[in-house]
Amino acid sequence: MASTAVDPVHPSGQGGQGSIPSLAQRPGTGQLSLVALTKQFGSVVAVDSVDLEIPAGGFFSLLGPSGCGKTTTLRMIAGFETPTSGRVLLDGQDIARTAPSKRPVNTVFQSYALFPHLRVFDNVAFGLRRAGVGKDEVKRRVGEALELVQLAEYGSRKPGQLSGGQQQRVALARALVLKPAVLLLDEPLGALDAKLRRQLQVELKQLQNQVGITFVYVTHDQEEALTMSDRIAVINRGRIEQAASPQDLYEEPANAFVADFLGVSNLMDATVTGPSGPGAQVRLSDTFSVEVHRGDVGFRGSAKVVIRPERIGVEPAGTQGANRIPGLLTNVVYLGSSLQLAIQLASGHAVTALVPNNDDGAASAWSPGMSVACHLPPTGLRILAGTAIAQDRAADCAPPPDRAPDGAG
Amino acid sequence: MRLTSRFGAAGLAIYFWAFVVFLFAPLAVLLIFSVNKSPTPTLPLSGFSTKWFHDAFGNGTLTGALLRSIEIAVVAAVLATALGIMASLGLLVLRGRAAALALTVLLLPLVVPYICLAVGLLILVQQVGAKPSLVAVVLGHCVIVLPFAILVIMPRLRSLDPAMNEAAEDLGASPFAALRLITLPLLAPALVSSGIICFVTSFDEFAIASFLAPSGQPTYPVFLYASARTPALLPEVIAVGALIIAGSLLLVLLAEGGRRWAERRLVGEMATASPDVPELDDRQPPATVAVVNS
Repeated sequence: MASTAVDPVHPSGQGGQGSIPSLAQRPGTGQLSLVALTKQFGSVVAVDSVDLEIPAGGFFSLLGPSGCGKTTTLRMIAGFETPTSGRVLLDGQDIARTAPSKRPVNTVFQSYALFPHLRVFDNVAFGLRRAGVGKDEVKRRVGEALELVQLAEYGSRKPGQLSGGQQQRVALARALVLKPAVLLLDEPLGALDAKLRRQLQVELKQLQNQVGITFVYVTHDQEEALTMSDRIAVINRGRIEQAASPQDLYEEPANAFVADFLGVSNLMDATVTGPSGPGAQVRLSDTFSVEVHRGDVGFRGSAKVVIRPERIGVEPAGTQGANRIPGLLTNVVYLGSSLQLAIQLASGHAVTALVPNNDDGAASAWSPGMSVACHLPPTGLRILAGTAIAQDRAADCAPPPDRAPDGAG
Repeated sequence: MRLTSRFGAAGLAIYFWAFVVFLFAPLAVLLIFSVNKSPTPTLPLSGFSTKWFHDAFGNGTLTGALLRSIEIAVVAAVLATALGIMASLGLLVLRGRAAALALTVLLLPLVVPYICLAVGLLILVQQVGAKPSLVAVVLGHCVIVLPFAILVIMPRLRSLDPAMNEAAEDLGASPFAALRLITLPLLAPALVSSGIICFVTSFDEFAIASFLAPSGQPTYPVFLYASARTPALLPEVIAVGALIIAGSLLLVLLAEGGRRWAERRLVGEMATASPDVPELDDRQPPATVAVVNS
């Protein structure tokens, strides 16, 4: 502690402080547990009995389409919404009904919500002064926080004089300066252009590593979530579809919604038959069967088979071998580094394939109307059991799947 | 047909100046006759004199009424603006029919003739066992100026990002501290406007004051109305009228200057980056990025 002087401008007695941790000690580690958390607005269930473990010190993302309940979940952790039922445990202590000002949790708002009449310095100092921190220490800690977000020389400006990216950094400094146990971020990069977003994604992840605070990040952008997160919970219609590491979510999606929401997926109706060796035999149509090694290989019956576009091998027509199905190239989209091919398979399924734009896959090599052979490797195919999930893909407003939410995954 | 054809432009100019004369001739007449030597405000002018100003300020009844009106207007303006803040905060939370109903009730005094309100207030004051008093005038004026306060404050409040209040509480401020440190400073321009509008409306009001002011303690408009029957007082009344016009002009200029100053303080001047401050990459135009499906 640099100073123990009493702040003359903001003497103690302003309600709300006392719970804000000092620089030296932070209460607990920032481990969050949501237990059967539910929020209803009238007859609408925004968050439906969510159980979620958010490990301490990690970068955790809540990912889902707009209106899925991810922001409401975040607002319940922050204290802006009171849960209809359920608990929010921070390091084992239920804070679901604690006032936002008394939680060691701070928020970076989507609109930044900077105070336009206060200088950048005073914006960042706001929380410290509320907590009755001494004048010298306020100065030192605000300086550190602005240093952290590379805005050390902007302290005397007003927020209106900063660019969008700079304002975003001020919002971050303002929340981080209080050393919260958990930092909540509500689509903080949503208002920025694509290039700046990518730059700040990297910076934000580095910053999180640096400060070691639990970050809970709300986004609808799957690429953003995959880039930054240690762990992601995919939310749909107020329920957790799957919570897992980015790699597991992408490689081992638990259901069709997750498979489809994280990048483009080809979903095919199929029938799983057996017996088979390491995987399962899947009938795509009366004449075409493929071997599948991943997913619910023990399942038998009607199911979905999913494959990522980049896993489909597109070969010259007539190529022989297992797991190969002839098809007709219907459309070619040039994406720069790769080509996106739309293919109508002889099994009746329409799929999208992604091929690299290299020497042997040059743009000119593909044209609509070509006959090709599609190699669907057994390790690229996944079986997703359950039939109700077909609706997930069609519309977000379809009735909820008949399936328990996957908790900590 | 273009509006700015030669005849059109001339017509517009004539219309404009006719309009200006119509608006300001009464004020000009007042200013001119306030320094006219003759005790009757008739042409031709009889020479320059500041006698009427001296007489006016020597007249204790007149200055008493003037000061009384200013006091009442200040108290009513402050009170109504404070109530206006509270009402606007409340209206912000209400939704749907409740909000519409509350707003209608609050704005009702706008469409009720003041004379009706005045009679009603007089009966009410007597029924609760009170007598006509200056406090009653202040309360009556609060009723009629509150709609103006709300109409000025509410739009400003609506334009504020609700997340700012949440941010203040998130950072440890109590709801009251958030109001004091964030909402009120950001409302300042609207509060200044509200104060001025309420002041002028109250200062100007006759009907309620004439019913509720105790005898012997008239407000300025009430005094003025009574003295219109006393021709000897007319030149003094004209002199004070001229002073009020000058005062109003000053007030409007000050208010506008104050509002601009407050706005500037609020958002800061949009300065380009000073050369000694390194500019981050943020303001570079976004590069054209081809959509790559990853």
